[in-house]
Amino acid sequence: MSRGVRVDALNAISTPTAWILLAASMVMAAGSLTANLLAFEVDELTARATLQQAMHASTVATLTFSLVAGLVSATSDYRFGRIDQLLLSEPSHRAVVAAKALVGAGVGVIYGLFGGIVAVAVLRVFYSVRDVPVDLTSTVVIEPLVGAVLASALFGMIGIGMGTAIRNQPAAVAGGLAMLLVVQPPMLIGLPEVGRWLPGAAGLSMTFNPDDALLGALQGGCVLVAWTALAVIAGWRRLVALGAG
Amino acid sequence: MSVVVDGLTKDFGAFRAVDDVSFGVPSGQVTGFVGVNGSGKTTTMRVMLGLLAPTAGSTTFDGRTYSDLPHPRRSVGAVVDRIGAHPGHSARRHLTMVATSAGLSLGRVDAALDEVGLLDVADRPIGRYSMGMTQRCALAVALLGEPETLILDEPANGLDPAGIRWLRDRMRAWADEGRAVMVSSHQLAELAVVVDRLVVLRDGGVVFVGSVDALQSGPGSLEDAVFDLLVDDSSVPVATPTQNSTPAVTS
Ligand SMILES: Nc1ncnc2c1ncn2[C@@H]1O[C@H](COP(=O)(O)OP(=O)(O)OP(=O)(O)O)[C@@H](O)[C@H]1O
Ligand SMILES: [Mg+2]
Repeated sequence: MSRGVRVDALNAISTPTAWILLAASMVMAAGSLTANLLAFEVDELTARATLQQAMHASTVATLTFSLVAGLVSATSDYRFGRIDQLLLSEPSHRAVVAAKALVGAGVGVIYGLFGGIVAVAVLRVFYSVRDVPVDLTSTVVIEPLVGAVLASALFGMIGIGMGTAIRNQPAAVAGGLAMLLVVQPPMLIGLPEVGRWLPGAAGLSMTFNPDDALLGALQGGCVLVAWTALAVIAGWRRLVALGAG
Repeated sequence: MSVVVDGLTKDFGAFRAVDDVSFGVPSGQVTGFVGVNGSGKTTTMRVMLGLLAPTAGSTTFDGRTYSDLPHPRRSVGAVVDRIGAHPGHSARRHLTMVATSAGLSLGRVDAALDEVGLLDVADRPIGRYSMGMTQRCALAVALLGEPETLILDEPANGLDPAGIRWLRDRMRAWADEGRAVMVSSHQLAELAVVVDRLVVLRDGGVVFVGSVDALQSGPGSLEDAVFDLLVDDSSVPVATPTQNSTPAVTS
């Protein structure tokens, strides 16, 4: 499996799509953070709630792109037939999917770290331009960023699992985005007792999102780990059943 | 290493693409694999290589299934029906990734590229290769592990005359070195020059397995003899689910 991890990592860094998605996630993180901060008056900028809301916007962008990166990577392997060559080298379906999931997690961590760097940079510049002091080491800033790194790793794995199971690239990406951005937000508002257990909401809990409807960070993390396991197992079982196609 | 395919059956839903196929691919010989479009050649080869799960039956390489081979790429080299590379990757990168994933020496990458005549263009993206260049790249991948068995699905597709001659000579040489070579093709005349044995598929079932001599006992060319096995009327044959003589059974 370590050879699989090496080759999937090599594939990720040598595929332009992965870099384009990383750049897009950083632009989105910076953009949504800035847009949020711009909505506040200068005297509101020191409030804890302001920072919390702005950080939340940037982490959502990071998690979304991490999921998409996993979906695109896994479905590309079918689209280009790369799955054939992976299985010819490593006939164990479980090892192939596990290697892909681990690399998906690694890519997610990178998205989380770069999203964090972007967020801190934007905060620094924004607050100094407004001439308002800001403590970038306060828990309001650090907790969401650390949570985002971990949640982003899990979202990357969910993307790999879902992509391996769904196979069709447009369907997988559209399905993943719809799940995250269309289905879950209204469910969290309208039916929070169900909505809070869904993967998107669990990811938000992990980033210490202050929304009352959400689970706690640790509980959300456990729920997201369960979803991740489910997605990766689904991908593995589907690969066993259908083969490389 | 000899290959034994035993009772291989593959259903896609209610459609039986490969129906109880049994044959051997002995070492030291070139075994040709023929059948009209849609007769199940690619499906059979993909199941043999573990790329598709069989509905029934098994394939063994010296007694082991593909997934039980300790070093699959060193035992079996395959050209399957698609190159299986990201179109933005160069041939060198593609082979490097295959070698990495299979634990093969990276020194083999340039050797294999050289063997198929791709060394000069090894850094161009595969997506911009011509059909024959892509096919040569697939052959280089098959040769990476210097395998004892070669399973080649239409390897001559798109090759120029020099490439076809090279492939024919190489297949003969591999067999003479004691390797088992299985090759599917529609070029019956070309195939007749090199194969020792033939497996003929029709509607997913085997209609002939044996030596070329056994098939060619009467007058006429091998091409004619095979053609008679493939078709029994003058229309252009293409196997379709409705033409399938064996009704699909899913139980
Ligand atoms: N994934 C699939 N799902 C459903 N049917 C399939 C699938 N793959 C192949 N088939 C069907 O199985 C039959 C055999 O196809 P296969 O590709 O094995 O034929 P072939 O002998 O290789 O043909 P050709 O000479 O054109 O390469 C065809 O009817 C094909 O439509
Ligand atoms: Mg075919």
